[in-house]
Amino acid sequence: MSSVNGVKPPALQIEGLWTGYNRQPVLEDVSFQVAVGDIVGVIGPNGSGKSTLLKCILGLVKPWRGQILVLGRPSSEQRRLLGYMPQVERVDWDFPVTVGDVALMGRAARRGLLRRTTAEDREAASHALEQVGMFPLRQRLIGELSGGQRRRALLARALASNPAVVLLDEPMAGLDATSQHHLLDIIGELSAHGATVILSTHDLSCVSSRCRHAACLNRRLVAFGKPEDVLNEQVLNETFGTHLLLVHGDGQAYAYRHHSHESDQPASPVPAGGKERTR
Amino acid sequence: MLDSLLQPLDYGFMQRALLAASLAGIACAVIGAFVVLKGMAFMGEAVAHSSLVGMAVAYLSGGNVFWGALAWAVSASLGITYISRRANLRLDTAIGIIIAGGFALGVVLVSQAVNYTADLFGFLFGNVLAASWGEVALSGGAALAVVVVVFALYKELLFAAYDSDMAEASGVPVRFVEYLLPALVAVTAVVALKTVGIMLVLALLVTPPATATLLARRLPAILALSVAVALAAVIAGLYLSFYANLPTGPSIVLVATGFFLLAFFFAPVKGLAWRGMAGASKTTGDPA
Repeated sequence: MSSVNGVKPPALQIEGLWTGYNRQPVLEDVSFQVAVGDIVGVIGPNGSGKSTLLKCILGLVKPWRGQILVLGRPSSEQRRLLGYMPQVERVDWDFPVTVGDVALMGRAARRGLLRRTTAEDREAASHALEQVGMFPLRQRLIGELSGGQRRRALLARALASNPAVVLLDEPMAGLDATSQHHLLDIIGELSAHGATVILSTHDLSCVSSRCRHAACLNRRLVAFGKPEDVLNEQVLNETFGTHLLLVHGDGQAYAYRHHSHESDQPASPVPAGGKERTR
Repeated sequence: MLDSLLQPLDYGFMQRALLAASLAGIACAVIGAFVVLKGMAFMGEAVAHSSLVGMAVAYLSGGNVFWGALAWAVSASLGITYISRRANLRLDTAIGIIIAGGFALGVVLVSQAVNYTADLFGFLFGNVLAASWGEVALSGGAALAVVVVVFALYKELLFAAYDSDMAEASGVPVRFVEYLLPALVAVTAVVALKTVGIMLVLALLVTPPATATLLARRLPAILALSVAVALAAVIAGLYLSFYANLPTGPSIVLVATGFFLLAFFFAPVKGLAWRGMAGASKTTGDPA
């Protein structure tokens, strides 16, 4: 490991990252560092490059310029240390596999081609299922799960390889409050055990209450820092452009969704910045 | 009863037909499960139709029809995959072009032969009763190869089919699998050509796995059941054809279709008959 002068390298180090699709840039000169054990919330509107950033770290999207280091080494050499949870819509929920099968798939990175499943793989998959509270449901088909259970099954798969860095793409989207908090509790535990978590989200309250750092992304990195420092009106307006309207009420900034591309919910107030709203 | 089952086996052509059709049925059932899960039925149709070109060229030049069909079908499958990845064409558009173009060229080529109608009919609907031991050995070997590859790479095929992003991130060679699966479909389709012909290959690829998905939950069980349904359909279809003096390929396909309909209406959990009754009292939608 390239620990210079005995200083541990950061979990993730992104420098001058440019990438995109079909010559259209999606990320422009993005740079930031994430310490080991940190929880970083990446926020930004649709099309701001949140998913692309995660995929770039994973190696699914190639950088045009810049570099990505995971624990001090190029991310392409560190795939085994990365856990990934895709957006739920990206997964085929009619596929005839059980929760246990899905968790076991998370071991593929450690196993390699043509290797048979070992007892160690099964143990690790079971442990990951226990971590997310899905062990009792391991025999269920994935299509039979509720929204929160589906999310936890995918999280178990991401955790089955004991990753040092966990990348979660929109883990909160479409979940009810109880399921969100359950998931955030699991994420908090992961970080407490030394894993680094990077999650993308639209939910500003989740970032302000549960993430230690916020990365505000809109193709370029608008701001990176502690939520209480960066989740202010100026940064959010710059990040979300016309998508959000900030209104001050009882000393707190609320973000209203102007129009949603996914029409998943009507414009609803989302608390932003500062303290957590009492519920 | 036993006599009527054993008597056809006195004929060499029935022994060869049973063996060839069973091997084709097994290969189709195994790869067909992935075809059904990935929605690749149209791909199977395309490689089968376009293989007529290869068959015609081999036939006219005195070569082996099997190798001609194999070479053309595998090339077509790789070509379709490449075109759909590179050009900004939808997969079904790319496949449609190859189906129609390949089939037209094949018919034009076959029309140059003396026994035009008889030969074309054999290619289109199969003539497994005319299979030689050489043909049985060739298609049997190819069928075995397909099954071995699927079992060796089961984990990778499953993972890539289920979630290609995550599979790629985990180091599964997804690009390779993207080409391998259509190529395996092509080999399997060619194996089944002698049994059911170009027009009906799709039935063997899709019907037994579709029946199995109605009856079983997990993929391993679906694979096993799909093989069982295919074998039952192939054997029952051959006997039906023997005793009722019906064309072999269509008989096999009709039996398979009958199995599917039975499962569709009366499968223990997913059967339409029970769903209709349950639907009257409460909705049986999937949990969100």
